[in-house]
Amino acid sequence: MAKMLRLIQNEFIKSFKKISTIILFVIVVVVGIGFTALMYFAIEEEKSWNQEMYGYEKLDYDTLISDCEIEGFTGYELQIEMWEYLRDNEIPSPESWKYFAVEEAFAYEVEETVDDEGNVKGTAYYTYDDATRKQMLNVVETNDWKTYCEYMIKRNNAMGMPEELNWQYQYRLDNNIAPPEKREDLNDYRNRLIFQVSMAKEAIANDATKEEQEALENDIKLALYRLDNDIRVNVADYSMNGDWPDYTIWICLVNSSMIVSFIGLLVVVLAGSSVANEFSQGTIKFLLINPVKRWKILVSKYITCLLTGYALIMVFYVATLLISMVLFGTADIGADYIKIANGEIVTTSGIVYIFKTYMIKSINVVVMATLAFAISSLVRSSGLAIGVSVFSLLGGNTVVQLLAQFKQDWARYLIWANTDLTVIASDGSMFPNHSLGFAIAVIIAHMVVFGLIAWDGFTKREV
Amino acid sequence: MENTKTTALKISGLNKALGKKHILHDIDLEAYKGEVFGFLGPNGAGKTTTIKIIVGLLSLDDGEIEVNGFDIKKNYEKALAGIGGIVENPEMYKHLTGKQNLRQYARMRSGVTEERIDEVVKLVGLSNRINEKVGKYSLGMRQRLGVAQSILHHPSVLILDEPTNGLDPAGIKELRDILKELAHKENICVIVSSHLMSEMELMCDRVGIITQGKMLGVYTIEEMINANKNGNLDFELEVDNMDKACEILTGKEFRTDDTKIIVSVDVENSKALIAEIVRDLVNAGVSIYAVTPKENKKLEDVFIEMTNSGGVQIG
Repeated sequence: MAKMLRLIQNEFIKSFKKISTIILFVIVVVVGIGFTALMYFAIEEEKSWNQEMYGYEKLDYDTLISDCEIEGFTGYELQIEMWEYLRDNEIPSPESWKYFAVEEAFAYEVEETVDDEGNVKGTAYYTYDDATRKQMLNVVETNDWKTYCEYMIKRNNAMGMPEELNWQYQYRLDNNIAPPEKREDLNDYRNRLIFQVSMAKEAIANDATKEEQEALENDIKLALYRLDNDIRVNVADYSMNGDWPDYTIWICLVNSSMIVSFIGLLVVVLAGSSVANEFSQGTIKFLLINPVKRWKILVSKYITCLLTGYALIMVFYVATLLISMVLFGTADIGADYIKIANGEIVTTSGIVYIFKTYMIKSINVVVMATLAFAISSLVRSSGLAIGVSVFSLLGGNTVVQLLAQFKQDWARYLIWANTDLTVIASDGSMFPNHSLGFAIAVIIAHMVVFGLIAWDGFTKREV
Repeated sequence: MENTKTTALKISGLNKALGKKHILHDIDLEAYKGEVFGFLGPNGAGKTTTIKIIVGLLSLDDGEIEVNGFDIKKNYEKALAGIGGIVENPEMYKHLTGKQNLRQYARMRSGVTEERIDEVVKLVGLSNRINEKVGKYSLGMRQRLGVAQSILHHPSVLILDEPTNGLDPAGIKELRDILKELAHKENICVIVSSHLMSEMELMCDRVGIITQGKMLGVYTIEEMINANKNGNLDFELEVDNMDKACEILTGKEFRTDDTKIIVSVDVENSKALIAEIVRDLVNAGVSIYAVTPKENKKLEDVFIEMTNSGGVQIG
């Protein structure tokens, strides 16, 4: 054991006294900084773009009014009255609760009568009585959202609407959370969560299948947990596919895990040249002349490669974390990753969660580094080892995808179909019934084969 | 050499094929502590292959190798712990300093202290340059570093493959002195391979001759020289009267060339015999200008004769 540690120490000294190794670390830091900066600018760009084009819909009341005048339909005067009220009270968007209240106040119905000559004549009149209308206009003017909520509950009940529709009003009243009025209110996490819960409740009441129902109930549980505990940010909301609830540091951190594959390329270079360099420099003879069994030297090289690889990943993680804290601020850095597992709320620190994601992504790197290591101890050529492994790392997934498209089921036994455990765990594999256990078995089988090739190639090699 | 010989390296029945080519045939060899053993043979005879097998770079097909009594197959690490060596070129990590290189090897062997490293560096005369990167070293310096590396762990057997390759004459002499000192003072078994026979003669106590993968035999230097010159020593005589001198020498072993007479006398008693011949000539009135002992037959000549009789094809 002590001997193995000394061998590993040797390998580290050889490796880290080389400028090329130091350069790898510099590259990783630069990539970390560059990636974070790019993410930052991309997000800033999207933020401003979003502000201009999307989200808060503003109505142009003057145009609506002149449209009404031109069309002259029955009750258009009442409609115009509403537009004017909205315009004059500066309620620009139908996403404000006040808009709904005004709509209530100005709701009208049309009654058609047929006279003796057979002419149809329409008469428009307000749906609600004057007291109700006055109350509605009053809540708008006095900003009294509570009365509005109480009114909506009463109205829905009177109309015999399903109970789920009232949940949000009741929740707002109970927890003193005003409904959205201005643009920024829409971005408030509480409004988003309340909206999410009420949508889910409606969906369950309507036509959700049993499976969907379970997922929806989990969504509700999670949203309520966050509302009850005032949890603004859930790291689980920031996926890699660009569907973000808001703009926080976590967009950058979640996405940074895709750089692990790039670091994989650097590790493959290390692994492919570790044995081959001893041959090309001619130092292999002085290495093997020592009273150390060859497999020990091989293992020490392998361990050194992997440790260096993980050091690169760690350096990248820390660099990305620090730079993104500088750019995005540290306000949300303490956020948790919250999910429901077996009906229970599970929280993990976001920083730990991202680290775990890195580690799962690194499995692919380890497998390809092992392949590079095996090839290089077999053929003495670092170029071939690096080439094959880099091709594997970059092209293997594409090959498997193609095979899957052509319904070649045997491709599931290939290593590339199994290295992305996160995808397989979430049932996202291209092959049917692809279990996590199967994937792990395939990975282990490949590692064993690569290991044996390296072992056999190195210990029996005539130098 | 001590009277009681301790075997440091014992090879018996060693066979090796590389591909289809049978390179070594039943090599037997025994080398002792305290001697410099020369491993002599033309290029392609199997010297390097044998050495590579001893130091663990090549596997052996058949036969046994013991170092200090440890079998190299059954007890690899213990057997190798008794061996130090340089095989082919002394290539070390160019991006490390000489000292960092030595520390690499020290970590792989047991009992090498920092003081030992300094001691060895001093022994090979690299103290001034040891903290420079090996990439800046000349071949001679790398060769010295190689020697330093090979003796770090006090090996019982030191194996050097063509150690004088590429060294200048001064470097060769220094190396020779170092090796002799190691063998005779530190009681190490030094094994040196070479195809330069003259080199062997100057530093070896015994020489094993190998051609075409077979051991022709193991001889002490004296044995080799004596075996091939029938126990006689030649003297050149320059005289004023060749004919008269020949007449007087009748009955003795001699030959003439244009201006000189060459007499052969028995080595055992050469001084008395040549003195008698000179006296006889002078008494007979022949003037003698010079009496020169002919140089000993070089090991090189012996070697060529020996290997040629085995039908050597260099290649």
